[in-house]
Amino acid sequence: MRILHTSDWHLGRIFHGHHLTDDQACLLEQIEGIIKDFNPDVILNCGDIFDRAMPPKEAVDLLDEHCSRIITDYKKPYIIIAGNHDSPERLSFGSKILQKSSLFIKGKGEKEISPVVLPDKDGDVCFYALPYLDIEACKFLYNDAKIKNHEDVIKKQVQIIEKKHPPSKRSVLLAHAFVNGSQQCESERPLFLGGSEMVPSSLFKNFNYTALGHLHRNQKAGFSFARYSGSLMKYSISEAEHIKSVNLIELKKDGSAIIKEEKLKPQKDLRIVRGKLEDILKKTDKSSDYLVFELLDEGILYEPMKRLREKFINAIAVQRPNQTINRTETNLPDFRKSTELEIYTALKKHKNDGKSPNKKELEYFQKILNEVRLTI
Amino acid sequence: MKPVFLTLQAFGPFARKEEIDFSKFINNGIFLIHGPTGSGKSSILDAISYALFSQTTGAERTSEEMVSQFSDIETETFVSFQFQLKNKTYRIERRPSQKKKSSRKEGPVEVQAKAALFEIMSDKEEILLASGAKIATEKIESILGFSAPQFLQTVIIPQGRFRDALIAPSNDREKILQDLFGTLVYLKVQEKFKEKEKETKLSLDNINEFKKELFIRTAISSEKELSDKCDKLTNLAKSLEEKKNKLKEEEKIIREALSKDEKLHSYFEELEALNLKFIKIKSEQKDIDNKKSLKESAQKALLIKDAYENYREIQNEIENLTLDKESISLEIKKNQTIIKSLHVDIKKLPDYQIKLENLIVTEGLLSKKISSAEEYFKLSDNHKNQEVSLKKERSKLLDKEKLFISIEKNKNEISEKLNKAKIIEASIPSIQSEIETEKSILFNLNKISDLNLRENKLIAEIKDAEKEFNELKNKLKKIKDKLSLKERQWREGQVFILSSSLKKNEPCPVCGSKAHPAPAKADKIPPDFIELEKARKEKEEFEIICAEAKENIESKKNSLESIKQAKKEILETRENIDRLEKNAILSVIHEKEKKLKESLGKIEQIINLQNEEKEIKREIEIIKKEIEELRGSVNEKNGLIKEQQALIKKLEKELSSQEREPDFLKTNTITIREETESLKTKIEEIKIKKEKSEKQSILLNEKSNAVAKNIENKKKQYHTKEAEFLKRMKDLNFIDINHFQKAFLKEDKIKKLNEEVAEFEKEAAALDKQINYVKEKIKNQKKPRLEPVKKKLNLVENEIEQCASRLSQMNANIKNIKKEYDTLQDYLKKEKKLTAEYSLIKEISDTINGTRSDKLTLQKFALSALLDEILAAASLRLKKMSLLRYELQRRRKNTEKGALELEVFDEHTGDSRRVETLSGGESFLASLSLALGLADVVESYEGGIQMDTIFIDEGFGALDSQALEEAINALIELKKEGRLVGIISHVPELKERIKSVLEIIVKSDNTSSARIRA
Repeated sequence: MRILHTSDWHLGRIFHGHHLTDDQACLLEQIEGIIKDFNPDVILNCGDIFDRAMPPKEAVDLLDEHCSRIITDYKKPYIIIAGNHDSPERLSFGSKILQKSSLFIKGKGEKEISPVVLPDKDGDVCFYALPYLDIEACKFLYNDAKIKNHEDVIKKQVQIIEKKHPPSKRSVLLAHAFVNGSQQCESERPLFLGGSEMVPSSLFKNFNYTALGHLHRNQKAGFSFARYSGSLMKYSISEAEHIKSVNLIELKKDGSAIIKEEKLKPQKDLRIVRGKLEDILKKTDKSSDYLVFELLDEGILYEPMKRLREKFINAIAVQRPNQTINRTETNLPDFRKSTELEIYTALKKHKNDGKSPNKKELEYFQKILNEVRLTI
Repeated sequence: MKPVFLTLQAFGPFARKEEIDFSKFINNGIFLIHGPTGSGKSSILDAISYALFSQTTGAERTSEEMVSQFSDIETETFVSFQFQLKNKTYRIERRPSQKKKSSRKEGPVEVQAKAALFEIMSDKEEILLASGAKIATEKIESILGFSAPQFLQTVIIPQGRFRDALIAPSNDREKILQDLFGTLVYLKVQEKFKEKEKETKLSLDNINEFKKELFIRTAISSEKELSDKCDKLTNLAKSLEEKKNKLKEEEKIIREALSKDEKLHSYFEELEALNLKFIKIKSEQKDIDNKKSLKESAQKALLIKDAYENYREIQNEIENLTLDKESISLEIKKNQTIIKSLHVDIKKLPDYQIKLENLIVTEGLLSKKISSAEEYFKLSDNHKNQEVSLKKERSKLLDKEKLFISIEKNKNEISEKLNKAKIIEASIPSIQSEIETEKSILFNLNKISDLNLRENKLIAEIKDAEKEFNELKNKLKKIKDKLSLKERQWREGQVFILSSSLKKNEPCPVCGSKAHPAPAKADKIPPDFIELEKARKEKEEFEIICAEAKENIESKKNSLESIKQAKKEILETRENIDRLEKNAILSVIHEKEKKLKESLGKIEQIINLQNEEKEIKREIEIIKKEIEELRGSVNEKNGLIKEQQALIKKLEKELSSQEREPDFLKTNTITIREETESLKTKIEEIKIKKEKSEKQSILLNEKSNAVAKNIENKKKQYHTKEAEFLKRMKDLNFIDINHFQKAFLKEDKIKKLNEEVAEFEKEAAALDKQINYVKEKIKNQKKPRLEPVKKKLNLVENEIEQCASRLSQMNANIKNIKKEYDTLQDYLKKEKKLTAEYSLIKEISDTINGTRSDKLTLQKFALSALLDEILAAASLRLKKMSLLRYELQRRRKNTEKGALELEVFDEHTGDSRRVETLSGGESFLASLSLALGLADVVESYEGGIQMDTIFIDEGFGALDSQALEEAINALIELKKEGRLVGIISHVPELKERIKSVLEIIVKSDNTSSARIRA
């Protein structure tokens, strides 16, 4: 069975003031191209379809168009789960009806996790899709007060699945979680306020393949059969070095999986450009990429952004790692660490070009200070 | 400060009691207050702020306005806020001033604002720490470490006010940091230096003033001048002193000379005076001689004074006695006249006696008359009364007799009536029996008619029933026929069934034949058994019905028979009874009944009449008795009156009409008595007078004889004495008595003369001596002239005086100047010291208080580093939230406004600018970062205030989704640091992200209520 695994599209995201919907549309077209070439039997989308619970209309439109193309034109079964950015209820609108057209949207948690069973020439493969479930919702759904973190959530659900799964059939799990052994980056919203979001990868050992979503880098999650496909495109500056791709999986009869990554090329790439301002302005080619400039100049620059934007219209940010002008004067005394006398001395020096006060002054100051202390 | 529990009642839009348990949110670290517009989200924060500081967050609503508009007057507005701080739990409860229903007065009463602060111990006990609105607020400020303005910029960021902290001027920021970090001592030192500077300057000025005055006073302008002047004056004083001494010596000499001269001069003067005196004395000499001679003669006269006196005495005595004699003779004459007059009266005396006796007799008569008059009076009175009473009784008697007659008449009437009534009574029973008979007849009649009716009815019924019965019978026949038909059919059907099941060469169940030539046929469906049964049942039922009907008819017939029987019985009681008219009988009965009633009534009357009769008999008895009594008393009275009349006539004879009045008699008696008395006294008087005058005349005669004798004696004595005296007088060379008398002087006068003479002589002698003495002294010297010397002396004296005064003045001057000099030295010393001090102080003060050109103060300086740190912490967050664009820093250039001004550094422009230039959403992010940065630094400062809670009221709506995302992430980070963040916002994204919600619901009556959904 051939599987295409993607996730974390974050449709409708705004990045430094830019609506990324156009870029995302372009990338979806690419994915459709890959589908045409690879011809998978099923497409898995593991969460964070939209960037927020109430996405902008262009994003909804985009997904609508894309899904209808996949279903009607390419006629591929499509399994989608909700991530922590999505609103489960909104995402799963019409899900029961859509099932009939092989578009399986799992937004809300189900008590009895029924698999999507898709047959291939070697037999059936059971796809278990776990939408993102927060601890309270899980507690409520299973009426179990002992669930304290995401690990418990996933564990509970996996137990239920494993109880009912016919062991003769192959199984694929879709989940949206932060699995131990993987790397985070800036653009991922913490799953739980409190950091109790780690899930051990051992939970997935019984599945032939675990398609994961949430983390934006394409990586293994503990072992090679649990994978993140990574996000659709670069969504934060920390991802500038990432290579964005989708996973293409070939699931054999014996349950083993051959995994390949297919790169995605965005319309506008996110890059970091390093150098001095003048050099950059002169030497670097004009580009409409999302550029982050690390300017190595040491002195004051005048309106760097404005000038950069003249050439690079989508300049995102300017960083100055070498700026020597200390925004803070390091020679200021900290009253928490110095005595009043020392501070006075420092002030005197500051006002009088470094001249220290004489002994008489200091004595007098101390005298008055003692008087005042008595009155407080 | 961590909130634990909030209770509010009738506060803002919350009409009733709301309880919010913040401990449920502590686990999540961040919670959302959500609800429709105007539901009261900000009011929750107002409640917290009000409970702590008696101030609402926006300071736009006053605490009185917090009293809910929706609550009734019986629900009291109050807020109770329990919070935790440094392991201690406190609770503050506050009530604003509000109108409350009074239990005693009509209408609402304004109640004052109250507050109470408690500490809650581990055993849940509450200890009161402060009570009273102001005191509680102060205590809260001291516990928390900051006051309302700071609270509202750092812990609660109110709606629309988040920019306050950001754009606050340097001084305000200074104040906040000062309170938060306890740098008050710097401020105090600054102030103290300012104070001291002022003080010192003032003292210096004062000294200057004094100096100036001094110079003016002494009219010099420098120190040296003063000392020179001083010296000069001292020298002058010295020379003056010398001069004075010299003059003094001169004076002395002159004075000596003068005194000598004066002495001599005085002697001369004395001599003159003495001489004058001498002359005067001489002139007096003659006078004195006179006096001498007078004295001598007087002394002589004194010797014979006694004799003279004796002689004169006797003379006097004789005169006196003669006078006595004359007076006595006068008296005798008087007495005689009196006696004469008395004679007349004495003659009258016996007449008087007789008159007196007469009067006594009359008096006796009168008294007797008086008693009888009184008796008469009494009697006549009594008599009158008796007559009146007699009349009355007579009339009474008459009345009673009349009454008696009438009652008798009554009685007779009644007994007649009674008899009549008894007759009627007798007749009643007969009437009653008649009525009975008639009634029974009527009854029978009724019964017969009734029976007739029933008979007819029954006959009709029987007819109907018979008809019915016939019908039923017919029906029954039909049913029976039907049934037999059905039976037949059924049988035929059975046959058909049988026949249909016939198979060839199988025996017929009926006859056993194996051949079935003609099996039965049925042309229609035969009825089955069930139908048959149904029909049978029908028939049976019907039969029953028929039987019933027949029975019915039978019973009816029986009843008809019984009726006929009854009729017959009645007819036997009376012949032709049925022919009688009912109405006639009724009318007869009616009449008879009427009669009966009348009679019964009459019988009742009998009883009444009997009673009346009894009564009347009784009355008659009573009256008879009364009449007897009255008659008796009338007779008595008559007798009595007659007696009285007799008595009265008797008395009338005795007394005349006038005399019948006792009063008249009484007055007469009194006058007679008086006359008697006066007469008696008169007689007495005359008697007494007579006695007296007789006695008197005897006495007087005796007296006059005595006196005459005395006079004779005395005369004799007189003559002898006279002779004696005259002799002695002539011996002493008196010419005659006149001479003697003239010479006679009293003793003391003589003494005085003696003295005068002696004195004079003494004086003369002394004077003599004195004159001699003075003459000695003067001996051969001339009288000096004093005038010139005196003049000289005067001059010298004057000069000395002048000198002296000048000298004293000069000394005083010198003293003054010396004093001034000392003072001046003093001032100069002080000035020096103060100047040194002042310069030091000013140096320090300028440094630490700043000048107009450089406003940097000590505290600000001290806080600058702190502010830098805060801003660094803030900038970390701001950089992230603003997508690497902005940082906050302290203003470096143009620090006239102060050293703690903020500015924002824009990475895009590479330059910094004022924070006011940020957009709404950007400044919200900046304020948020600043608040968080401040909280960070405060937390890390030991002994600093705990800022582990932050409430943010709106502001998130100004952010786009990415900024919102970053802001929420920043807030969520706080939870890791153990802080609680409360957000009020409409933004839907937040509702999705934050699961702990305090939901504010608006109920149908427009009041709000809070509910936790964790």
